[in-house]
Parts: sequence; C-alpha cells; structure tokens
Amino acid sequence: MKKVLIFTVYYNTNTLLMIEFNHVGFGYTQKKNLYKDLQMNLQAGSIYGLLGRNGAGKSTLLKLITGLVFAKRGKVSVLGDNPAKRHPSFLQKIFFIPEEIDTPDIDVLSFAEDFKPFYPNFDKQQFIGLLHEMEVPQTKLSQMSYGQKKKTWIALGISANTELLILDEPTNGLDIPSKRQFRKMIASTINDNRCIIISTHQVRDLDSLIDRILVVENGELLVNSSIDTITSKLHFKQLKDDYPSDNVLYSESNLLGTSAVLLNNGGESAFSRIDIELFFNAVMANKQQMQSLFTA
Amino acid sequence: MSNNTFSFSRFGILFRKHLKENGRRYLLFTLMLFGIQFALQGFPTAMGFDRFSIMPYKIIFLLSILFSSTIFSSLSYSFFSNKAKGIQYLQLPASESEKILVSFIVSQVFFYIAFMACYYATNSIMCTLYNSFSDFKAKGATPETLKYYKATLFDCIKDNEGWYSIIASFILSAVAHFGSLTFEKNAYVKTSLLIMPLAALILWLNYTIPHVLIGKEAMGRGLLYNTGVRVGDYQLQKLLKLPATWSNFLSYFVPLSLYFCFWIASYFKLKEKQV
Repeated sequence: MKKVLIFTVYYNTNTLLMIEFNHVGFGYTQKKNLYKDLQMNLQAGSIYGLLGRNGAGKSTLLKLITGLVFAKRGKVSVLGDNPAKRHPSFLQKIFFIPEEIDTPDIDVLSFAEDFKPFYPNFDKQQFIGLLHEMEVPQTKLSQMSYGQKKKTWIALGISANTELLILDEPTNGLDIPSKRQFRKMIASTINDNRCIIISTHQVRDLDSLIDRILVVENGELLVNSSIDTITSKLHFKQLKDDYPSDNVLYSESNLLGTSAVLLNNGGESAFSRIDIELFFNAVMANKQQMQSLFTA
Repeated sequence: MSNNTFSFSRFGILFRKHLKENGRRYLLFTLMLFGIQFALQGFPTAMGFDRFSIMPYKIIFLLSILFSSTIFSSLSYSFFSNKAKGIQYLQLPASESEKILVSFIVSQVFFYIAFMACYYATNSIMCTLYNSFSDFKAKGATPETLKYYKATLFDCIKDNEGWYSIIASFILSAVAHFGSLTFEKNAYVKTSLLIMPLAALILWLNYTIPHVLIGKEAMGRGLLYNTGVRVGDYQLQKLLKLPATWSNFLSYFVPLSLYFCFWIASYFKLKEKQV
C-alpha cells in the first residue's frame, strides 16, 4: 500500500513555520565567521522587522534565506526546502527586493509581463492598481526616477503573491507620502500563509507595521520576539527627573525629557506603546539581558 | 513548473525575457561586428596593388573570429559586477540548466550566425568593390591570367585554416564563458592571463612527456607528430602511426571534450554562484 505523508510543520500556537536556521555558520572568508551558531525560527502570518547596525549581518541573513549565499555549517530550511539549491519550485515561492535595484530599459507593464509566468500567483491587475496607488507612471522604466523604480519593484513583489516576501531597505529612495502608502500596502497584503521580512535602518518607517522584531549584532540573534511579548516584558516611558532608576534598562535624554525602557514587573500600567528606536538602543546597551529575554 | 531540472516552457519564457532585455545590445554588437569587418577588410582591398591575395582576408577572419567570439562570451555574465542584477538573475525562478542554455544559444548559435553573416556580407562587398574598381590591365593581367587578379570570396568553412579557427574559437569561447562566471570584473583580461600560461604549460608538457616516455633518440630528428612517432635518427627506419580511425576519432574527441568540459564546468559554476 502506498503511503502518502503530508508534512506540515507547526510552530508554537498553530503557526506555520516558514524559516528554520539550525546551528548555522557563515563567513565571507574562511578565517572570519559572521554567523557562528545561528538558531532562528520564523513563522507565517507575521511581518518581521529586521534591525541591526551597519555590518551586523542583516543583508547576509536575508541572502542566506534566499539562497544567494550558502551556509558553511548547519542547516537552513525555508518553506521546507534548502535555499542553496535554488530550485525553481522554491524560488517561485519567494520574492526578494534588494537594497539596490536595477531595471531593464523596457516598459513597466512589459516588465511585469515578463515576470508573470515565473510566479503562479502573480496578479497583474493588483500590480497595475499598486502602481496607480503609488502614482507610478506607466512609461518606460528608463524614464523613471530611482524612487519610482523602487516603487515598481515593491509593487511587483507584492503582486507576485509569494509566500515569503523579503525587502532590504525598501523605504530608501521613497518620498514621505510613499512611505505611508508602503506601510498601508504591506499591512494589507499579509495573511496567515505569508511571511514578510523587512530589513531597515529607518525604524520609524516600520511603526505600526511590524508585529515581530529581529535584532542581529555581530552575527548573533539578540531578539526574535513579537511586539506583544516585548511590551509585556518591557515598559516604554517618558520619565520625570525624580523617577527611581533601579528599574530602568536604558534611558536617553531628548527635548521632551528622558525616554526610558523599563523592565515591566507588573507594577506599571499593563501595556505601553513600543518605541522601536528606543528598544533597539536598549538592546544594544543590554545585549545579554535582552537576548535571554527575547530569543527563548 | 514542478520540474526543477529543465522545463521547455520555462526555458521559452526565460529566453523571451532575455531577448527582450538584451536584444538591442545584441543588435548593436552585430552592427559593431559589421563595422569592424568592413574597416579591417577594407584595408587590404584598398591596398591591393598586384595579384589578388586571399591571405590578408584569411588572417582577418582568423583574428576577428577568435577575438570577437571570446570577447562576446566573456561578457555573458558581466552583469554580476552589478549586485542588483546578479541577485535578480539568481532569484529568477528558472533552473541553472535553463539559464545556461540561454547563454549557450546566444553565444554559440546567435553569435556565429551574426558573425558569419557579417563576414560574408563584408567579404562579398569587398570582392565586388575590388573587381569593380581595380584596373586589372594596369596591374599586368591578361585574359588568360585575369582569374589570378580577380578577388574571390574567402570560404572559411571549406578552407582548412578557416575551419580550424572556427573550431578553436568555439573552444576558446567556452573557456571565456566559464571565465565570465568565475571573474566578476575584467573577466576577459583575467581569463586570458590565466589561460595563456596554462596553454603554454600544456604545450610544454605535450612536448616533454612523450620525449621522456618514448625517448628523444627514438624520434627522427627529435620530432614528434600528433598521431605518430617517426623512429630512427637521421635515417628513417620506421614510422609508427595510430590507425586512421583513431586519428579521426582523436581529432574530434579532443576538441569536443574540451568544449563540453568547459560548458559543464560553467553549469556547476553557476549552480555554486553566490553574490
């Protein structure tokens, strides 16, 4: 009797596990390892914000996920496949928009038409709609500004309707209204079977968009946690001068006074709104403590 | 789309996309080929003083096919120097065999069709110009010797040297193609710098090893032939030759093996390409 086994891997609370890094090691040279022993699980139905300093390994992490570089040790599994093999059946399920983009000298609709057959769920009407929403003219790509080209790629990535959408510094080159539109479009495209990873230095662009945060530093994953978990464990507060400093993890002075990250010991009023930039700085200042809090 | 090794429909889509994005570049390259051929062949045509000599056209053909085929092939993956283009190429949902086949068809079929068309077109124009404007009488031609003064088309396929240079260009373009995947910048220069000493080493080994194995004294005047050994010092005693079928087989097997080795190497290089 022929047995057919259908595997669906679930992680924690019935959420589809999309990306799994198991003791992954990687370095661009033999001597220097960027990632030594990376353990990471990413789930479907979430928008991840990938944060890190310059050279921390954000782009490398995205390249490991997409199979643009190969792990030297350990195992990387994305959508149940080994990305390093770059199987067409795998590549048609992911869409990666790198920081620097390039477009051929053809018409924007023709550009989409060329990509359409490679992605089974590509929706041309959605693509045209997104172009319209972002006010991208339907002309030749060579006649567009860098920002318009970037918007075209973002529209293409969203319309491909792949299970995994990865964006490296997507808001670079976008004007202020476009950044808002970008957040709106990304938020409307997420569903239970899709995972979106956004790597950026412009943390304000991720406000009210991401629901999970990843922080990498020196080849280590310091944070892999949902916003809810972060706000349940930490409290973001504007402090008065006489506030006792025992509970303060990190603080910085600004025009309004002192913004601080505090450990939420239950004494503070339930949840506070996360300040991503403040949180990132707090992580950088308390690496070990934050790692133990948010990578378990 | 579930076949991860090769799919004709996917290849067709990829090929169409490639031509759409690069068609204009290829057209410009063809025009450039035509222009260069016209200029190069125009020189001996304009300078033809005496009897018509096919030799300059032969040399032009040999040099131009070797240089243009290798330069063209070495540009196949020059886009990898642009990270964005490299990422876009590697992320496109098509297999490496489909991607390699696209560059094979472009560099090994389209290029040669374009080159031959340009060469024969310019050669025909040159012959017509030469025969139309040349004053054969002044050059000393008589009705009996006129055929030696008239320009004739150089048939590179029927001519031995022409044919060998085509075969050599196929092999070298396979090497250049592999080089373009290996080196992201200045692929042509780097491949040439690597191949030239390697070729010199092979030639040296090809000469030295048989001398060690067979012994120099066993060869007539120390000479070595491709498929045979001439035994005897100054006085020929014996001529040991490979059977004719072997010689024929080797003359095809060696270049074809080299050619396919480099294409297979390119396939695996692309599979392992990281950006």
